Parts: sequence; structure tokens; C-alpha cells
Amino acid sequence: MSDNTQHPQSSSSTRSRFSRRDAIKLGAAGAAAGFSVPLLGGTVSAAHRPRPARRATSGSPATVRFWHWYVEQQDQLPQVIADFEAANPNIEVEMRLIADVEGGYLPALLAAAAADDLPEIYAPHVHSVSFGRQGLAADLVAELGDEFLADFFEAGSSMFLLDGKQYAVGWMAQTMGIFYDPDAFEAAGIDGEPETWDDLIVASNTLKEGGSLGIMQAADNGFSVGDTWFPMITGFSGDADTMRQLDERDGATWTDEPVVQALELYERTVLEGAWQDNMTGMDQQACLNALYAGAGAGFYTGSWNPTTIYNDAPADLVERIRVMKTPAVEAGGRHWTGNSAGAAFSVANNSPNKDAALTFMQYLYSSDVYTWVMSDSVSLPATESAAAEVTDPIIQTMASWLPDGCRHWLTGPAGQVVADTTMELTAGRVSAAEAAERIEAEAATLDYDS
Amino acid sequence: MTAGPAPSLRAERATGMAFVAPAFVLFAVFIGYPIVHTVVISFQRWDAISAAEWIGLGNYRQMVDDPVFRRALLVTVGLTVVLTALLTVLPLLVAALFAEGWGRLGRLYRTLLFLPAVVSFVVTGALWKLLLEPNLGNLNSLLGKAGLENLRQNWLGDEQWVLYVIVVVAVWQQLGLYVIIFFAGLQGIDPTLYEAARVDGASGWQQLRSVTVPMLRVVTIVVVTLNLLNGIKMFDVIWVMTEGGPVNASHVLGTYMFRVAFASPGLPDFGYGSALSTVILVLCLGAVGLQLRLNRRLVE
Repeated sequence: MSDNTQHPQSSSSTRSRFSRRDAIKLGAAGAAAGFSVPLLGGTVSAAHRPRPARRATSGSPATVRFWHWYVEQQDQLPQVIADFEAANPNIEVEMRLIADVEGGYLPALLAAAAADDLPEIYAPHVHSVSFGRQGLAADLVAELGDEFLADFFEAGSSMFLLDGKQYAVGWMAQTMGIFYDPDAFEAAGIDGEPETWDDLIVASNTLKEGGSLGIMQAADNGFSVGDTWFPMITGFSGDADTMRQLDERDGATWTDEPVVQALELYERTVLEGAWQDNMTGMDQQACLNALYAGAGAGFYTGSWNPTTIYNDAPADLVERIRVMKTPAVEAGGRHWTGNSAGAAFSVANNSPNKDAALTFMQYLYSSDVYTWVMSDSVSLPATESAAAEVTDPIIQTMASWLPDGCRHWLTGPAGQVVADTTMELTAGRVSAAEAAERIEAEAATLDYDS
Repeated sequence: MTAGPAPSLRAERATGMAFVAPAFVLFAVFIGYPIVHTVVISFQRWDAISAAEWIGLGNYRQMVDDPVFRRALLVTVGLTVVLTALLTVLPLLVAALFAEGWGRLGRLYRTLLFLPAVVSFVVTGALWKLLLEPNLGNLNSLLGKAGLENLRQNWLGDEQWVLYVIVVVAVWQQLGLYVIIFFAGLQGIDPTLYEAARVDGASGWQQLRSVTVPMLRVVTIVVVTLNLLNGIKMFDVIWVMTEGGPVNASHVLGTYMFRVAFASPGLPDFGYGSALSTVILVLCLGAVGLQLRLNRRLVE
């Protein structure tokens, strides 16, 4: 038997041997390197990361990211996209619907803006003009021409206009009104619809005497409460431009007489029982639930609710529910109603796929497509031609109020202080006069140029 | 057969580092870098869409004059202290009761107590918001049917009650988790200690004070630390229930930071929001430092 046979694990040889342990070490090092390199590469800032070449020249492939929170059209928009893509096979539309506006949509949008990588088409929320100032939102007048914009309701579009540049266009117009159960009114002996806020106070108290919550408003936050009292400002000023002037601090202040009058009127509605008890603990859904349950007789809210009501309310309530105009501040006065296009779309100015995005925008707002989407989703259109085609009676009614529209929300820097102070007024911590002074004192210190 | 050569210490360290490297890289990229970057942004004015501007301590000076921040800090500290006390003492007492031996019933009760802990904070907030709705919610309805109408309140819409409600919801959610932790700790105590105490004539309460509590010092430190961190970082259940309202009464640092950075009208204030985040970070580091100090004392 030969002595030359060596066991593979023999240590007598000076040759290095590749053992199982070595294999494990090498594998671990390789896995670490392979895992780490892409991560390290990912830390390169967005400013330096080369963007994929996506410029949409005619026929070349392009992706249009389409971000919004409009659950009202979640059934219709995929079909619109499919039809568009069939007609434009080089363009892919990626829709991203994030229903939670504050918790999900806005953080995503703002993160995209911070990275200068806004989606090609997006719902701008209150940021259209701010983005436009920074060159992030396209001027749709320049890109699509006056003809594209001619059909939009002016009151809605004005919120996205700055120095003649249109940084967004409305998707759904909004008007405010009081959805109510006529049977509850009749049972309480209330004849007709309240014309003024004083009439509303009387009607609501009458309803409450019968055990109802009366007329409700969602008063869990100052922005919802703003929907209620901002139109009162226009009611006292008689000028639909007053809210813009306040928002932009352009000729109006928060201690001007119409504002103080509006605050005093709103205060009176709170103190004299126009609204449900414990209103600061009820949000929009709670008020809707109370309406469905018959606990509340009416709910002051906006034109974005009919679809929800039709889907969620009992069938008999759906059959009989009506909507009445926002009361006037005085008898014979104009029924100014909150009227904005809170839902809108902007186009990213710096996207290499801007041309494709504009093509999709034109398709989205083409008469047939837009009218169908708005009608099928029971939504209030932002264009006059589509509004004329609406068949739902409630939406038809609310669309007829658009000419009496005024802003009911703020996009400028004073929005938060107005909301906070309004809540203090609602909670009875400050008087109307004190609220006006406090808002003005804070609003005067803010920067309105950014 | 002879064994292979023993690996050198250097080779062992290199192997260890190779295994740790992926986790370290993940930590550095997804936790370390964002923390450092947030602190840097806290010294800037940045609205997300224009260039960031270095303003030094400007955001921190703004905090000093901000009544909402002062209130949020006070609420954060207050809730943290109260919840730490409640969620340390109560679970210990409940776990001690369970340790008396309830058999199958004990297992059932522990399971029921623990169930809220597996529900997400968001769902918890949404459920309690429905229960506490002032006009149609279950709580006020039950109080009305029981003839206790005078006890009905605007639980989430009244500044006087909202913080108490938040404490109740937080205790409901987390009590079971800490009961389980303490119960596990109790299983590790040598039973002869209790026997000795009983022989010496110690009552149940004396046994709890003289045997159970000292023997659970390590577990208690962990529980206290977890409670401190959870209190300081509180966000989701409050945001879902009140969004910091009414009238900023229930804002904690987390909710206020979120509002400043993402949920205010107008452009976001990432600089100020980052400064608020940095305050949260400092408080959390303080809590961890306290834990380390307590642990060191224990070892000594």
C-alpha cells in the first residue's frame, strides 16, 4: 500500500487548501458586495441620477404618470385611459389614486416636488400657483391655448391663475348647499326652504324641538368651518373677488367690515343653535351617518357628496333627498355659494414627457370624454358645456348656482391661522371681534410672495 | 485525521463584518442618512420647491415663540409621563394576578387582553372615533339608555376631555402587550424566593414589593423605556381621532410635525418640520440614555 495517498484535510502540506470555511467566507463577502453596491449606487442624489430618456417625440414611447385622489371617478378613469392608450399606443398612462389626501397623497406629491420629479399630470391641491411660480407647473394658456380654457367656469379657474398664467384647470367644480330630508322638514312644520341665515336658525331649532339634531355642519376642523363662513364674507361685500383679496392680501384685510360682519353672523349661528350640538366632535362622515340614520335633518356640505349619498344612504332617503341653496345674509340678498374647483389638474412643466401629458389632458377634457366621466360619476363638471349635459337632478341644481359662486377656501399662507382662529370662535373661546383682530395680526406677518 | 489550522482573530473579525455589512448598509442608508439629513434641514428654510436657505437656529427660535409647539411639547411630555406610569404599574399588577395561577381562564384572559395590541393604531383610532362620536356613538348612546345623560360628553371635540380619552385608548391598546412581557418575566423568578418569603410570614403585597418588583428590575427598565419611546413618538392614533384638535388641544410633537410638513395650506415648511423632528429625536435619545444609565446601575 502506498504512503503517498494524502487525506484531503492533511495539514502536513504547505499548500493552501480551499476549505468549506473559505467557501462560506467568500460567499458571504460576495453577497455583501453584491447587496451593497446597488444600495450605495442608490444613494447618489436625484440631482445627479440620469433620468431615463422619455421625451415623447411623435411616435416615441412615453409614460404619463397621472396622480390624484378622485375616488369619485375611480371606475371611469381606467376606461378613459384604456381608450386613450388604444388610440395612442406610444403613450402609457400610469394612474395612481391615493384616496387619503392629507396622509398619503400630499406627502407623496410634496416629496416628488422636492425631487423636481412631479408626475406628468397631478392634482395640485392648493399648490398650483406656488408650483407655477417656481416653474414646476406648466402654463396651460401657453401650452394649450385660450380655446382649451374658454369653456371652464371662471370662478373655478381663477384660483389657478396668476399674472395671466393658468397653472391648473378644474376637474370637478364645487358648490356648497344644504342636503336635507324634506320629510323631516314637513314633519317639523317647516314650510319651504330657509332663505336667510336667520331663517335657518329658526328652522334648525324647530327641528331640534322634535328630537332631531337639526341642520349639521362638519366642524371638527377650521377648514370645514371656513366652507360655512367664507361665503358670508362675499354676502356682505357683494364682491366675488373679496376672498381672493384676503387670500393674497391684495386690498383687503381681516378686520374689514364684511369680514367682521361675517364672523359675527357665523358666531350667531353657533350661539343660537343653527347647528347640531357637539359639532366640533363630528366630521363629514359622522354628519352623513346622522343624515342617513334620520338623526339629522340636513347637512351643509358640498357637491362632492351626491355619489357618496347615493351609494351609502338608505334607498328611501336617496329617493327623496334634496339640496337647498346656501342661505343669504339678508332677505332678498344673493345666495352666494362656495364655488371653487378644489379638484383640478396641473401638468408638470419640467417633465420630458410634457408633450404626451398635454396630449392626454386634451383627450381627458375633450367634450365627449369629460361629459361622460362627469355624468357617469354624478360629479359637478368644471366646464360649462359638460355642466349643461348633467342629468342628475341634484347636480343640475348645484350647477345652476355656479354663477353665484365665490371662493370658500384659502390657498395662501394665512389659511392655517384663519382655520385655527375660526375653531376657537366655534368653541366659544374668542368673540367674533377678537377673532378678526387675531387673524389680522397674524396674517399681516406672513410672506405672500412665495 | 487531524483538525485544520485555527482561524486567526483578524479572519474571524472579517467574517463577522462581512455578515454584518448588509444590515449596517441598510441602517446607514434608510435610517442613519435620513436622520442626519433631517437634522441638517432643521437649520434651513425649505418649502420643498425652491432652494433651501441656511438660517442657522432660526427654526429653533421660531419654536420658542410658537404657542402650538409649546402646547404640543407639554402634551407630549405629559402623556408620556402618565402613560409610562400607567402602563408600567397596571400591567405589573395584572401580570402578578395572572401569576397566581388561573389555569385555562388565565390563558383566555391574557389572550383577550393582548388582542388590542395586534390591532394597528390607525384602526384603533378609527374604531374609537366611531365609538366616541358625541351624538350617535355607542358610548353616549349607552350612557343615555342607562339614564346617565349627564355623563355624555363631546369626547373628542371638547378640549377638557380629549386628552383623557387619548390616555384611555392608549392604555386599552397597549396594556396587554406589557402584561405579557411582565408575565414572562415573572415565570423566570425562582419560586423558592416566594416560599422563603411565605415562611417568613410575608403577605401577598409584601411578596410583590420585596420579591417580585426587585426581581423584575431588568424587565421594568425595558418596559419603562418602551413606554417613554412610544409616548414621545405618538402620532397615528391621535392623528386619526383628532388630527391634533380640537383647537390644537391634542397636538403632540409628532402630529404637529406632520401638520407643519405636510398638512398645512400653503407650501410645506420642511425646515421647521425637521426641527420638530429633531426635538423628537433628542427626547428619544434622552429616553435611551436613561435606560442605559439604569442598566449600568443595575450591573453595578
